[in-house]
Amino acid sequence: MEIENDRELLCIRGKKKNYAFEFRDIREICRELKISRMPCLPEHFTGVCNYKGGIVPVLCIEETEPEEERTLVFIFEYQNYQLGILYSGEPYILDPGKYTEIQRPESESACNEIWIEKKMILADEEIYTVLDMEKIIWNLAKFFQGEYMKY
Amino acid sequence: MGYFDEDAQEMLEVYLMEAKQLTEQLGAVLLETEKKNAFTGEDIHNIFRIMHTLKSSSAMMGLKGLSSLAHTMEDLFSWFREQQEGIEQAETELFDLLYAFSDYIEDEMKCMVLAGYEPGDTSVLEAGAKDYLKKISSEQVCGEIKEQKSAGEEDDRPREMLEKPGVIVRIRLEEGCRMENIRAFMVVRQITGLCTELETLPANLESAQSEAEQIAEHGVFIRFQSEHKEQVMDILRGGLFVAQCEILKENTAAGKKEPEPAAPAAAASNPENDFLNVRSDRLDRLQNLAREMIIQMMSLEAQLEENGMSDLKEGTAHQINRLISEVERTVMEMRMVPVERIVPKVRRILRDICRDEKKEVDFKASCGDIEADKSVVEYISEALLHLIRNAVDHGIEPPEERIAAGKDPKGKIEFNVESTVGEVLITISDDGRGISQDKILEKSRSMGILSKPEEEYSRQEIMDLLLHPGFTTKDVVTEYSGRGVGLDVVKNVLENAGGNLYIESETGKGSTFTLVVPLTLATMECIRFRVGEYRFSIPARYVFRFLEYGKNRQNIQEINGRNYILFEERMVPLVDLRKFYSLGGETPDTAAIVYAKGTEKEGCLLVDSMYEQKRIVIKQLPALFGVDFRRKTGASGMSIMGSGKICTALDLEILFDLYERGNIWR
Repeated sequence: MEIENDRELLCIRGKKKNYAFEFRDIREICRELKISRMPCLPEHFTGVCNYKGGIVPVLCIEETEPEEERTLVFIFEYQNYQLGILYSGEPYILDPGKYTEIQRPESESACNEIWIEKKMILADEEIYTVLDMEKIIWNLAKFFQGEYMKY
Repeated sequence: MGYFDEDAQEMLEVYLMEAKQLTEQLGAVLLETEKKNAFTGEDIHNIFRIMHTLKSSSAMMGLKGLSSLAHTMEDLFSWFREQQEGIEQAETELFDLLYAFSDYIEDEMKCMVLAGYEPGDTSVLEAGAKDYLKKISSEQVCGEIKEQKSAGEEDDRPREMLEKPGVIVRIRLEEGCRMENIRAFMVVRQITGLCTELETLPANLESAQSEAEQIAEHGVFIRFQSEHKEQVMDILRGGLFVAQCEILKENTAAGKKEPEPAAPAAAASNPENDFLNVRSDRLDRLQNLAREMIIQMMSLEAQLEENGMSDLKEGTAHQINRLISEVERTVMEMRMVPVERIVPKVRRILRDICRDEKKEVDFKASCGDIEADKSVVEYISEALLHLIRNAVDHGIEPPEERIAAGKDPKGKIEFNVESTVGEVLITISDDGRGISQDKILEKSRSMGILSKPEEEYSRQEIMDLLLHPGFTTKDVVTEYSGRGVGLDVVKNVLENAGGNLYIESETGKGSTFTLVVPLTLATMECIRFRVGEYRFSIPARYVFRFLEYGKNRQNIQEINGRNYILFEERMVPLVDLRKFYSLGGETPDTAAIVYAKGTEKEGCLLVDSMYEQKRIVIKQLPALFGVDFRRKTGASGMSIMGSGKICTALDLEILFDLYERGNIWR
């Protein structure tokens, strides 16, 4: 599948929200990657997976565990960091002409623990949160180096 | 295109490889000759040959400046070669010139691979070399020059002795030491036990009082044969009142030969056919392929087992597995390099820092034949350079301070390498001022990095504070230290290599830094086990026994909130991984206890069940987890099992240490 316009978004439906990712942030979408549990990971992390010989930590996008079957792992990369997001369901693509950006509430922070919003869009009368994966990965890296290790 | 034309560009890789080898040879010769402060005829010839080769190769590459500089240096050593058989008490200026030349080439080689490379200016160096040659050829002030024999000239060397087999040396004593014959006798007495044959001239030194004046003027000649030649030479050079010790000749029983060439020259004489230079990135690729084959083979075995194809698993698959293991072992061996190759770089750093800080240090290296994986040696090398800088800058006192403390004005730094099963132990120890625990605590207090009351810190915990980023006890930043990045870098480098750092120190006496690193980073024989849904592995070399949990429950005691188990008449820590990592669930009655002993710590692990021991590929922790993750959790890496599931590799030293300190992970 050719991505003709880097403003196309990959979208997923969560239980509470709809999410979208910019294609330039996605390295690969993998099916049937085995996720293994690993101790000492913060909440939101479901485990780690073996991606092309390297070990990639995997986040679960919502609090409920995804079903074992039909899971996908979206692999994101920023600088020398890799991160996976686990999802069960089928993603779909939104073309640039099919969504419009909407103004988010100014009083509310765009950061929610791990998830950092880039913008909010409206498509087919559904609201999507476009996640800023670069900032999410960068913040996680700083979190592991700083706050998480203090005790 | 950069500086080089198309033809030269194709040859660049080969040129750089050759130039690197030549500069390494030059560096090794310089360090040895500077130690003795003398060049033998063989040294002069080697340097001449290096310059000659560099001149021609550089000319071929269109590097006119470098070729011209090498030509000037070649002229200099051609003059030495023609004028004399060696240089005694060589001038510092000569060494400075050669080191400057070596540094220039190394810097240029680093830049040659970059786009937009332009050759550096050689005019200053070349002018310096020409001036030096002019000076010595007109004044002949190159130390005590041994001139060639010419008719009518007096030669005070004993001709008869020079024809006999063995090593013939001349010892000159310090001027005005008096009783020269007795001084010489005392020195010779120290080597008597090491020599199968020993002769002096004058003979009978203890009674040769009348010869004292002769000895003062010409020195004493010693001919010896020994299996411990280097040891004998060390004793002679270090003898009391010995000002100079030079080898005049070495004669084997079969015939005469000149004194042995320096080690690099010997290395260069290996026949070309025995060795092949291989690009390291190709070796890395081969190793990765071998590792992936192991992982895939494990996966195949698991699937054959699941599908009831035991025959295939035990037959063809087993044979393939054996072959793959052999390939992996061979690749691992290809990547093994002697740890000793670090030594010249360390010596060079030591030389430069001692010169700049006006300190004197006697450096002893003992590596034996120990080899380790190339990347491990590179990690160690980087760590060692920092430790050496620290040892001289922080540890070794200036000569006057050392004399006031009743120490030898010359400091000592020792570098030892040993290997145990699967690991390399490297120690750097100095006899300097040591590390003051009070100073560490004071600095830690001011940095606000203390996490508990000072009196609760153990000695090791105080030493670990040194590894905190930004920590330094130095008030003044020098070229070498004071920025607080040295030991922190060492810690990070070692952790990347899967190793550990231990520090011992005593104020006024010195410090010892011990680095423990695995011999190879690629694969390891591991014991694997399961706790709930979690899988772990530990190096098999640390595991000594397995116990049944059910049968040993009564031997478990809680002491101060931590569990211990009776093992061989002592209580050792029992780490329940389920509780330690808050994994949830209950320990089954069929659980197992694994007794393990690392470099410093021992203990037992309580696990649900065991898998078979296997050679597995260890992968690094994800970069996202940061450099401190291992130290804080005891998880040192990951490995992929045949089922595709991932094991957490545990660092036992860190794990037991965390357990003892009560830092249970929450």
